[in-house]
Amino acid sequence: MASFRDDDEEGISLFPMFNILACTLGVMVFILATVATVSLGADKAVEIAEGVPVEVAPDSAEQTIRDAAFGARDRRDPLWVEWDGEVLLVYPSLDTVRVERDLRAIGTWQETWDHISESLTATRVGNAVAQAALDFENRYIVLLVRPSGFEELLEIRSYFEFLGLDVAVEPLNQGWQRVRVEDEGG
Amino acid sequence: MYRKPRGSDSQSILNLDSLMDILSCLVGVMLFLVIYTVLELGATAFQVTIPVPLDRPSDSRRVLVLANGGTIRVLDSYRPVADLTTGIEAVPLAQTYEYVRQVNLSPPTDAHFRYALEYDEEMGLLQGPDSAFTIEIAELPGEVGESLAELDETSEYVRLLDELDPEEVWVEFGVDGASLDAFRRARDLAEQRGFATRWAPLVLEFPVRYTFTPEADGPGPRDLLSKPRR
Repeated sequence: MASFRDDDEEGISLFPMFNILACTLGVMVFILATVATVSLGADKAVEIAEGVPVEVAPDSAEQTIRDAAFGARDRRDPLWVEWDGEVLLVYPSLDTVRVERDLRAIGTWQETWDHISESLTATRVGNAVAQAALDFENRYIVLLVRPSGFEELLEIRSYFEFLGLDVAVEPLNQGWQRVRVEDEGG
Repeated sequence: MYRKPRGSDSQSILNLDSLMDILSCLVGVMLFLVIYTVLELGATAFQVTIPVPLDRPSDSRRVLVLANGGTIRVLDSYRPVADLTTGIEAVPLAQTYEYVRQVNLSPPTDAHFRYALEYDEEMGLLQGPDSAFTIEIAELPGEVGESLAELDETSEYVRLLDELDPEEVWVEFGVDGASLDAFRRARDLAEQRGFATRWAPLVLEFPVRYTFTPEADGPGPRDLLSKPRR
């Protein structure tokens, strides 16, 4: 009697499944490595805090006056503003406003300030800055500037000073994406 | 009834069930780790606290620290320029050019820069010697400064800071976008030593030249105003 022998019936081959699993494992390892890299590097959240003057026992009248001045400034409430060369962003509300023109190309300081003022008109950023300027004795600006905004930093800073606000400037790395500012009282 | 023939070969096929179990377990663990990491990344705060310096005016002498190209270099021109120009006012006008040539035969250097004095004879004759002197600052070959990894208590930067008196000088950092991490480290080290500090965006192209006057304290961000001073 003739019998037909089918090789496929010798057993189930698990090699295709094994390949799929190995491939899946490789993808998972890749994803894990990517996530780990991102979490350790560029996507790191950065908290910006106000500077705290060093507590030094006053050894002269001048020292006492200076410390008192720092203390008075410390009690001021900062308005946190970021500048990247195109956009002004206010923390923590993350309201933004775009400044369209190249500020360096504007011929005079007055025209520069007029243009920035026009850009801020009727915006939430403009309102925040205006409120700070009205209360300039109790407020000051912390201007966080990206390297892309370095070239026009002078113009932006001078605008806030033109409004009568003191300005403290701090650079931010271009790659920092998740920036938050110190909580009030924090 | 037909009975499926069962050859003896099937007994020798490699059994991969155990391997599959191991792989499945590993995949499950990896999935768990990925999900946990993603959740953790979204919720956890990686915090880098940066103190915002209070801008304080200072009447003391300025020392420029360049944070350019990812490295830190102290550009303190005070002593080298003094070496170049001490007694120059006593030199007769006719001998000024020769005096400058002699001075430049052995120009003063510091850790990173070489300083030279230039004299414009024509300008000196027209407007007097006071406006005819120029200081040239050039980089020393191979002295690129110290990177973030090299900035510690034993670094050249700290050694140079320790030679300065915080009561007599304040430190101004000229910073480019590629050097922010090194700048923050250098600023921390300066503030730990009691120096008042400021910073400003600055990229210097060497050699740097500036007109010498007794009041001039070297190049700096103030030379880069984009509009006339108010």
